[in-house]
Amino acid sequence: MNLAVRSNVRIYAARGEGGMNCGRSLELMSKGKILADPIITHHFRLDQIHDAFHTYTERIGNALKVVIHI
Amino acid sequence: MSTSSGWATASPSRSTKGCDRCENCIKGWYTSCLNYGDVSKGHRAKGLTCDGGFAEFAVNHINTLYRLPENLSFEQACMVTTAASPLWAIDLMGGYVAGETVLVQGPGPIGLIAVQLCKALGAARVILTGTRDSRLAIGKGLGADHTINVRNENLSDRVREITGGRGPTASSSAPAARARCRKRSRTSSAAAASAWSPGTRARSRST
Repeated sequence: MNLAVRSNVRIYAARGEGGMNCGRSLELMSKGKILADPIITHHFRLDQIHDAFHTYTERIGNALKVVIHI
Repeated sequence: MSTSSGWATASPSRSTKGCDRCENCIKGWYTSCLNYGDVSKGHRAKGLTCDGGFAEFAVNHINTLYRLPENLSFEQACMVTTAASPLWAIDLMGGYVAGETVLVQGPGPIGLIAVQLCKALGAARVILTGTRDSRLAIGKGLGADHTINVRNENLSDRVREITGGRGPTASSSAPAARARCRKRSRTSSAAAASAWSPGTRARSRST
């Protein structure tokens, strides 16, 4: 921490999706600046939710973002 | 995900509505609401303090709704909170990414979106670190200029090499990595932690 102070490093902690940034993110996604598809690796139905969580927590098949379809 | 006439919730499982009456909410910091968890004061955290989105229908406060752009699917839109979290971190850091060298630690969904955000906002260079080559490869495909697998390479040495010995001007830590930025950071640089690491407990406070 002394080193951080001496170097004038600014440290921020950001909790969640504040500052209306969901709306800004949707705009960036809509304009193709942020791609979700390469990050969504797995799909499950709601009745497969236990498999979905297992796949995610164990990182089965390099699971990255697991989506449950309602 | 709950829907009504083309409106999508901020997230299928988590979207935060502050109490709208505490000091933090009034400042726009509703994710740090001082009445966090107090449903009687109007705070709602979908899937945490009230029912989430794993249902055909769900009730959401209108303040938490965003209109879904026509060219996005619900599936793509379920990433919106994941995108908004690192964007909020960039926002808090000053929002000015153009021309900066950014070190993104952790190639999980948040880190991979942080890479794209920094590129979209004009970062000169984005360096992505992680432990899984499969994820680093996705990061490269999404715009990371350099990737470092910290299991095989010395992070400090590689960052110094990439930045000509100066270090990055900004660092962003996703949950997959701990914020050990200082040794690799430049003087007067900024570091942001945009999500919790496994094992870190969220503290809720109700007053």
